[in-house]
Amino acid sequence: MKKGQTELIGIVIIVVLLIFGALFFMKLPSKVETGEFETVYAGNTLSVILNYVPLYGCRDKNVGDLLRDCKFKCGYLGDACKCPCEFAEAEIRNVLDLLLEEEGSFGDYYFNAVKYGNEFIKIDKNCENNVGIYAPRYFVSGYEFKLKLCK
Amino acid sequence: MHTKGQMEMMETVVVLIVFLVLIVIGLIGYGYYMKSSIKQMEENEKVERSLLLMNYILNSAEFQCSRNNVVKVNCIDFGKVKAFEGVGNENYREIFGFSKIGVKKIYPDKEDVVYFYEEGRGENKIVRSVPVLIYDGSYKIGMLVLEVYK
Repeated sequence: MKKGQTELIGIVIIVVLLIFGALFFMKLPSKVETGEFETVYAGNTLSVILNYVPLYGCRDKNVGDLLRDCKFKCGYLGDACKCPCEFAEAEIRNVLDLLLEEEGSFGDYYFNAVKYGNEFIKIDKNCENNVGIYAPRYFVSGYEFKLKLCK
Repeated sequence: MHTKGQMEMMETVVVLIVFLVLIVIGLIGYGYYMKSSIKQMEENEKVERSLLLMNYILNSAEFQCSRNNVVKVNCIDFGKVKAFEGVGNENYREIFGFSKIGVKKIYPDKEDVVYFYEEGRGENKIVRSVPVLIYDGSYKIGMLVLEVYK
């Protein structure tokens, strides 16, 4: 091989490496930043649902309070004070369906409520085992509420 | 007939031309990615601005719900929003910049968006909305709608 040919190959390798380096450098930060708003959105959704006081609910109790009152399931959708589990579950479904329809970028969701490690409410709309965005964990005196949104 | 010197000169010229072509291709590629990177940075800046606006609105006394000095998180008092409409945009231009901000009730009843700040317009914008509680005598679930312009 001639000296010129060797130099040419060297230049080609350097230019290719530079292009790949520039691509990697410019693509990496943008990918990290895109999920920021989605995480805020999921966090706000969870917070808003738990703090929402239903108009025809049980006194001034919000959905989070109703979930904490959920001890035994009625098996039917009845009065909010008598059947807080079913009432809260129905409210969560309604709110999530409407909010996600309005926003447009998410379609499915997974919500669960855990008391001292035991799951007592689980609402899954094609999301539990799919890729999605989790809301920051929400703890209230021994209870943990989780929300995951899927596209 | 070419002499050995001429041949070597030709070889150097060819190497230089190839090298220049490679540099030009590299620069074009770099320019293309810089352009998309700048576009991405612009988008990120608008997203960051919308997050800042959202934080400001949800945490400012002008809009948030409170009862007996206890503030409710992620809640907007609709009465304060209606009162804000009469304040005038010029007083808040420094904080809200070129944007359009409104609230929309969704649950239990769906209503149209009520804009309480409008400044600037154009196609170069991002529209973001986040769920909020809206207090209007009773609690409703809605969206805080933010349109941020360049």
